[in-house]
Amino acid sequence: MQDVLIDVRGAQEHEEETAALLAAARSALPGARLIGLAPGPVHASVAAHLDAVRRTPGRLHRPTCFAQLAPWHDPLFVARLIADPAIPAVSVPLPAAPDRTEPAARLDQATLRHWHARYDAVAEPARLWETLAGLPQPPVLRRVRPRIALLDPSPDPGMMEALAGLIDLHVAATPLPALSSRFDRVIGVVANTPCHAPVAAVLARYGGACLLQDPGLPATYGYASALAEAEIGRRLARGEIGRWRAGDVRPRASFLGPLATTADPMLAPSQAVADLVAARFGATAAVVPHPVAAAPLSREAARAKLGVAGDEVLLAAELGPDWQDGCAWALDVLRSWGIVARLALLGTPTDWPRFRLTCRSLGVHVALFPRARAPLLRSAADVGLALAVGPGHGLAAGLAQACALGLATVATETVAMGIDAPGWVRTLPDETSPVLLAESILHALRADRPDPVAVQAFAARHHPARVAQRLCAALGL
Amino acid sequence: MTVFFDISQLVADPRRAGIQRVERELIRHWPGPEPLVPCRFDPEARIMRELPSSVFAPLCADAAPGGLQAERRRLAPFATPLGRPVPEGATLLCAELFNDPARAAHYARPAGSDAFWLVYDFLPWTRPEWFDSRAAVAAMPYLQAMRAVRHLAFISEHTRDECFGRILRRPRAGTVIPLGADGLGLARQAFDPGRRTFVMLGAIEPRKNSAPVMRAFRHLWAEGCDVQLCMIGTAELHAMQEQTLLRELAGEPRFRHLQGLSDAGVRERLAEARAMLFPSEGEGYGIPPMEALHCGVPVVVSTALPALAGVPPWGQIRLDPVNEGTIAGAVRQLMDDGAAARLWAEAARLQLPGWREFARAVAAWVTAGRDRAPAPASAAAAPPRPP
Repeated sequence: MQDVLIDVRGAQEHEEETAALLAAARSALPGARLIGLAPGPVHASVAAHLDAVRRTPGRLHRPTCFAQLAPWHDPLFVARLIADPAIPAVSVPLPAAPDRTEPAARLDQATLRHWHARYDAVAEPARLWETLAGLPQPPVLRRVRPRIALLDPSPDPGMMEALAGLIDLHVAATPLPALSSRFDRVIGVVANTPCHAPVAAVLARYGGACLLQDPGLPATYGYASALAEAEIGRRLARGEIGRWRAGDVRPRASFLGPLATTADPMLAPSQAVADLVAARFGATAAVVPHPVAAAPLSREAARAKLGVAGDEVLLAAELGPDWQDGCAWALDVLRSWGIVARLALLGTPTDWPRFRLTCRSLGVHVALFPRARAPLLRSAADVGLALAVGPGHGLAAGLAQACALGLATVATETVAMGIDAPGWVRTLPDETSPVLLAESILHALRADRPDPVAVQAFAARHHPARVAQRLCAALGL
Repeated sequence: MTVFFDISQLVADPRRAGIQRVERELIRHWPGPEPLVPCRFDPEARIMRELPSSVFAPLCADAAPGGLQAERRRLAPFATPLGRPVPEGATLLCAELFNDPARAAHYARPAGSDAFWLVYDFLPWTRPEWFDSRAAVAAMPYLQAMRAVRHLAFISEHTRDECFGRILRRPRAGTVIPLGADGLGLARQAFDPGRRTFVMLGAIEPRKNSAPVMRAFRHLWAEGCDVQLCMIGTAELHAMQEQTLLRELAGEPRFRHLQGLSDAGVRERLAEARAMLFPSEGEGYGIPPMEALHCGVPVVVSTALPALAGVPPWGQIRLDPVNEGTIAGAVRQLMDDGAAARLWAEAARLQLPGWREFARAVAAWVTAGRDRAPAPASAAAAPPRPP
């Protein structure tokens, strides 16, 4: 698909004429994505013909074609595009504005000469799109696979495999590829950890596609208070951010602002997060859900592999640090109601010796499982748990896996927001309550298993191949 | 026979919020003839120890002018529990919600489980979003011990339903003892159109709807309404939005925020109030509006206030939902002299129970419970272990 960048700056003064030209482009360039480059609001009749409007030429991805409808307003920008041999370009030869300064006029002339050297004819307005259609096809149309750099400190293997089938994929843990011109696109993966901060910083500075993993980033930024105050519209109390990070209280700010305003496109893991981005920052985000590669396994087979008895109540849990003790107490409450459950924890808790001691003192059975065994454990479990104060890190991805495996799951609100949780996920407030958790587990144990059709539909939506396709589509590849 | 009153928390942290108020009133109005002897938990020896009865005097005195620090200084002589151990099998009464695991384990022992607990509410567990994130976990030893305690009384029907329907999941038992409404010691008030102040009493935090109240008044002032707001109470640590609003309103001449106020100070403020605002949606009971009504002062409350269940709606504007708009609407209604006079007349007709009746009911419950043979523990309640 062609990605046609049309510079409508200046042309908007001739609204009807511009709209007619763009309408002609629609029929002459079937399947092309028309992106208007504009300094401010675009006339409705013009906007109706555009797929997107961008306002920051400095942060544009390279288009596959470029067209300009008005005299040079930004000769440096145009010169940069024309000088790139990979970008076919076309322009309407309108005379330069009379008030150009001497250096600008010289730049105009130089650009024009370069232009004429590359193309025999400069299109007339009426034949503009024919000219464009006749230009050399962009790499994608020549069946050359797009070369994409993925900046991801912790890439998902299933997703990498699926993407590698569609694009020429280069995965990097550092943001250096963002500065290289060797790639058609650079995708920054950003999650709620300090180690994703460099990727977030590069995206905020240079733009680029942002694939968001968690529904908020309170742990990512070092310079947090100004961001938070701008987002929630009030001054922060002393120590408020520290308390968010410590998990004392849920964060009131998402910290998605810098990326929401610069990322292009912004890719949210759920519609709920996309809605939040729109509501708080007025930015548009496409939804690219978490990929889930797990193959379903019967409960019995999974239990046989794990050596868990069929009648044992097993809870597969991923817990933020602030929910560990609460979870142990919830099992104590459940036992007082006559239900003895075992807690299987994915990953290692932040303070495992202390937590183990708490579990022991409460008489709660707890065991650790490596994350690689998550699909097996979730297949064997009766109820899944994904609990954190705030967005946590990676819990939304784990929750998506649990849902795709049809596991009845209890999740905290913010984590659940990260996947548009289906109906069989029971949500709790972020703030820890062992009693509410025990109640939810009890209800989940008593409820019917999730509808297999709905589970299958969820799994299909989150299949890595489908997610990879969705990502490529969102990037216009 | 002696009734030992466990006031461990009150001695260590003599605040004047709801629970502490109940304890103080129980001490003041204990009917006898059996003596009420103070005691506190000794964490070193893991036993209850008697406190000298002289501790009751500073506890029940009017709030010290220096606030909590002054109260603590006043109680410093009783800080170390060196008294005689409370005998095993003695009648032990506890009207506190506490976090101490060792103290909880003391009650969970077979000998300790014959104690009498007055239970307030379960809000930290059922509405955790209103509290500090760790509050519910910290107080879990209390719930764990409660499973073993045989004699439970509740301050409202709602709390009893929550206890047996959600927390213990056992057949309903225990008794409900409503709290007193006459603790303020303020004479019956009369309406005067010159009263233009609305008083809000209690901790400043989200569940009390303090922020919508402040925003509602900001709106009323902007539209020219001649009304004043006086908020009495401390902003809780987790009440971020409320702290910000308090800072923003600090220079507003029609707004007052008073902290560490003595009982006399509270009486003075209420004696000039047109009405009390108490639109809290997170109460186990709701003492302040009951006290205001007892003095004949109308109140603006939430329909969900447990204390008002079964009470005629006289002198009250009950809000549902509670938000900035409905609060402002209630204030506008009360600023109409005719409507306010009607509400004042209604409030004067209410007959609410006092603390004397409350203390008598508690004493009767303890006596009856002690005289009855101990009931077997529920099969659903596994023996709790201290963490």
